[in-house]
Amino acid sequence: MARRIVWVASLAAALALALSMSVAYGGISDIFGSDHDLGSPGNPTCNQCHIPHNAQGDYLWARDESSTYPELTGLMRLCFSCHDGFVTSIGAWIPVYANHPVEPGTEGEDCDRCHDPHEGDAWKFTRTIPGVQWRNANLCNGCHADDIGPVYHSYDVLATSPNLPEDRTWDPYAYPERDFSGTRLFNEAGTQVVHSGDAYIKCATCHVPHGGSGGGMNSMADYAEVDGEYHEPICENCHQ
Amino acid sequence: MGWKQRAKRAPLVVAVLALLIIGGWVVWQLGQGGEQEAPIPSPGEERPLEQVTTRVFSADLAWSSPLAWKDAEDQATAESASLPADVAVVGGRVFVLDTSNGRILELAPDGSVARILDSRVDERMALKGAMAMTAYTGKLYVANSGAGTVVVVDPSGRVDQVITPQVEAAERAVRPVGIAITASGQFFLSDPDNNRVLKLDGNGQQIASIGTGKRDSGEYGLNAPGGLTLDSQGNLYVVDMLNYAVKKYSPDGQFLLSMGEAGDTEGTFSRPKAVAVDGQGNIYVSDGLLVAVEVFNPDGTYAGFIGRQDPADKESPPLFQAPHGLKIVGDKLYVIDRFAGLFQFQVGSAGSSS
Ligand code: HEC
Ligand code: HEC
Ligand code: HEC
Ligand code: HEC
Ligand code: HEC
Repeated sequence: MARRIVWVASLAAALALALSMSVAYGGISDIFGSDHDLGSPGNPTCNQCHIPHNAQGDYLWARDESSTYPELTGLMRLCFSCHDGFVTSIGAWIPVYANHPVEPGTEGEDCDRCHDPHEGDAWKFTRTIPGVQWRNANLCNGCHADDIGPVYHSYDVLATSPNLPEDRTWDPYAYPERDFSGTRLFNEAGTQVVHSGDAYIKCATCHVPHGGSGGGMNSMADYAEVDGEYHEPICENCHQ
Repeated sequence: MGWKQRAKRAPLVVAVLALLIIGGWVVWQLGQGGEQEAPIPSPGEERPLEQVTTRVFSADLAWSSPLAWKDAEDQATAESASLPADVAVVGGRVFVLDTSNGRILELAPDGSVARILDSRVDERMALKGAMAMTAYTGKLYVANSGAGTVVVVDPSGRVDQVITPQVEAAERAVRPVGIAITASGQFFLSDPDNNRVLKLDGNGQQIASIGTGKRDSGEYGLNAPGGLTLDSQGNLYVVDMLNYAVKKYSPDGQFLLSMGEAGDTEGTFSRPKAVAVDGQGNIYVSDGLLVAVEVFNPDGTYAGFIGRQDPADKESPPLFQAPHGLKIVGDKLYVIDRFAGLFQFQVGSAGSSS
C-alpha cells in the first residue's frame, strides 16, 4: 500500500511537470480512448507501460535496457513487448526490417524521435512537430530540413518532385511478401491519414521508416538486374 | 481485484532455484554434435550450476527481401530463424516455429537446421505471423495467427488439414496466438484481439469460451490472453498478459487459481507470454520484459526463476533476450527466445505438457 502511495505521488508530480511542459508531450489524457488504452478493472491503463511496483528503469518502466541485440535495447524493449505479434500483430515485423536510425535509450532519439505513445490523437502515435509547414513533411523535416541537418537533401526534394503519388500500396502484413513500396498518408498537420490531394508525408514515397528493400531507409532498391536488364526500382516506382 | 497478496518470497528463492534446475543445464552445443550432459550436482550441494553453451541454433535476424525484384527461390533459405515464437517436439524430433519467415524448421540433434517445412513442401503451409504450435497425435498443430486458422502439419511438412474456427462473432477477427489440445482432441485457442479463450471441437466448432467480451479482470475476465497449456489432469492455464496473471481453470472451465501480479521484480509479471507445466504441476511462465522464466508451485506461490547467466548470481547478465514459447517434454524444458534461439533445460521431474 505504501508503495502505491509513493507511485501515485510521484506520478502526480511527474504529471504536473509534464503538463507544465506540455508543448513537448502529448497530453497524458490522450492515452485514454487510444489504441494504448489497455487497462482493465484493477489494472490501470498507465501500468501497461509504467509499472508502479519496484520499477527500476527510467519513467518507472518495466524493462531491462541491456541487450546484446541492438534491436532490443532502449524503448524497443518496451514496444516489442507488445508489438511482437502476440499482444498485437501491429508492427510485429519491425525488428526484422531496417529502421530509421535511433539512439536506443536516449530520450528523444529513440523510437520517440517519431512516436510518442501519449499522442493518442496522432496518426500512428507520431510526435507532433507544431508550427511549421514543410510541405507535409513536418515529422521528417523537423530534423531533416536543410537548415537543421544532420543529413538532408542538398536540394528541395519535394519541390523537385511535385507530383509524388499518394496511391501507392503498403502492406507490411502481405503474405508471402511484404509490400513496402507505398506511401503513407498524412494530413497537413501530420496528424491524420488523408487519402487524396497534397496531404501525405511525401518523404515516405522514397523513405519508409520501417522496412523497405533498398539501402538505408529507401523504400526500394536503387538498382536491380532483372533478366539481364538494368532497373532502378526506386525511380521506376513512379517513372515507369 | 481478485489479486493475490504478494508473497514473502526472498529467502525461498535461492533454495528452490537450486532444486529446480536440478540437473544443471543440458545443452546442445553447436558444432559439437550430440547431446552433452552437464555434470549433475546433487540437490543442495553448494556449487554453482555448470554453464555450457546454451544457444541451440542461431536466430539472428534473417533478411528476406519483401519485393519482387528478387528471385522467389532466393528467399528465406538462410539456415536461421527470424523471430521464432514456439517449439514443439514430435516423437523426439524438435521443431521450431520460424514466425517471421512463415515456416517451421526441424532441428538436428546438434541444433542445426535439418529440414525446412515451408510452402515449397506443401503450398498450404501459408503461415502468416504464426505464434504458437503444439504436438498432438504425432502432428504439429499450428496457431496460424495472422490467417485466423489452425494448420495441422505432418512432421514431413505435408499439410493435413486447415481448420477454420467457427466461433461466435466478436468485434475483431479471430487471431489465435495460443493453442492447447486436450487428450480427446478438443482445442483451446487464445484470441487476444477479442480478450477471450475459445474451446473448440476437433472440427473447429465452438463449444465454450472464457472472457466477458471486453478488456476485463476477475476470475473470468481476460485482458489479452496469450500462452495456453494443459496439465496432466486437463486443467487449463491461461497467460492473461495485460492483467499480469496466469489463471488456472478446471477441465469444465471453472476458475481455480490465479498467480502473479504486475511488477518488475521477480515473482511479479512485467510482460508474461507463455506457460508450461511439469509433471509435478509446477508452472513455468516466460516474461518478455523481465527477460526470465518464472516458476510457481502447484498452489500458485512463487518458486524461483531461470534466466541469469550465472544461476547463483541474480545480478549476472540475462541469459535470454526475449523469452517466449515454452514446452516441457519429459524432464526437459524448452524455451524459445524471439532473438536468441532455443534453450533447453533439465527440470528435475518427469511429466509432459503440450
Ligand atoms: C503505450 C505505453 C504507455 C502508456 C500506456 C503510458 N505511457 Fe507514459 N510514457 C510512455 C513513454 C514511451 C514515455 C516517454 C515519452 C518520450 O520519451 O517522449 C512516457 C512518459 C511519461 C511521463 C514522463 C513525461 C516526461 O515529462 O518526461 C509521464 C509522467 C507519464 N508517461 C505518465 C503516464 C500516465 C499517467 C499514463 C496513463 C494515463 C501513461 N503514462 C501511459 C509510454 C506510455
Ligand atoms: C501494453 C502493450 C503495448 C505497448 C507496451 C506498446 N503498444 Fe503500441 N499498441 C498496442 C496495441 C494493443 C495497439 C493496437 C493494435 C491493434 O489495433 O491491434 C497499439 C498500437 C500502436 C500504434 C498504432 C498502429 C496503428 O495501426 O494505428 C503505434 C504506432 C504504436 N502502437 C507504437 C508503439 C510504440 C512506439 C511503443 C513503444 C514506445 C508502443 N506502441 C508500446 C499495445 C502496446
Ligand atoms: C523516422 C521516424 C520513425 C522512427 C524513428 C520510428 N518510427 Fe515507427 N513509424 C513511423 C511512421 C511514419 C509510421 C507509419 C508508417 C509506417 O509504418 O512507415 C510508423 C509506424 C509504426 C508502427 C505501426 C506499424 C503499423 O503497421 O501500423 C509501430 C508499432 C512503430 N512504428 C513502432 C516503432 C518503434 C518500436 C520504433 C523504435 C524502434 C519506431 N517505430 C521508430 C515513423 C518512425
Ligand atoms: C527527431 C529527429 C528525426 C526525425 C523526426 C526524423 N529523422 Fe531521419 N534521421 C535523424 C538522424 C539523427 C539521422 C542519422 C543521421 C546520421 O547518420 O548521423 C537520420 C537519418 C535519416 C536518413 C538516412 C538513413 C541512413 O541509413 O543513412 C533518412 C533517409 C532519414 N533520416 C529520413 C527520415 C524520414 C523520412 C523521416 C520522417 C518519416 C525522418 N527521417 C524523421 C533524425 C530524425
Ligand atoms: C523521389 C524520391 C525521394 C523523396 C521524395 C525523398 N527522398 Fe530522401 N533520398 C532519396 C534518395 C534516392 C536518397 C539517396 C541519395 C543518394 O544516394 O544520393 C535519399 C537520401 C536522403 C537522406 C540521406 C542523405 C545523406 O546524406 O545520407 C535523407 C536524410 C533524406 N533523403 C531525407 C528525406 C526527407 C526528409 C524527405 C522528405 C522531405 C525525402 N528525403 C524525400 C530519395 C527521396
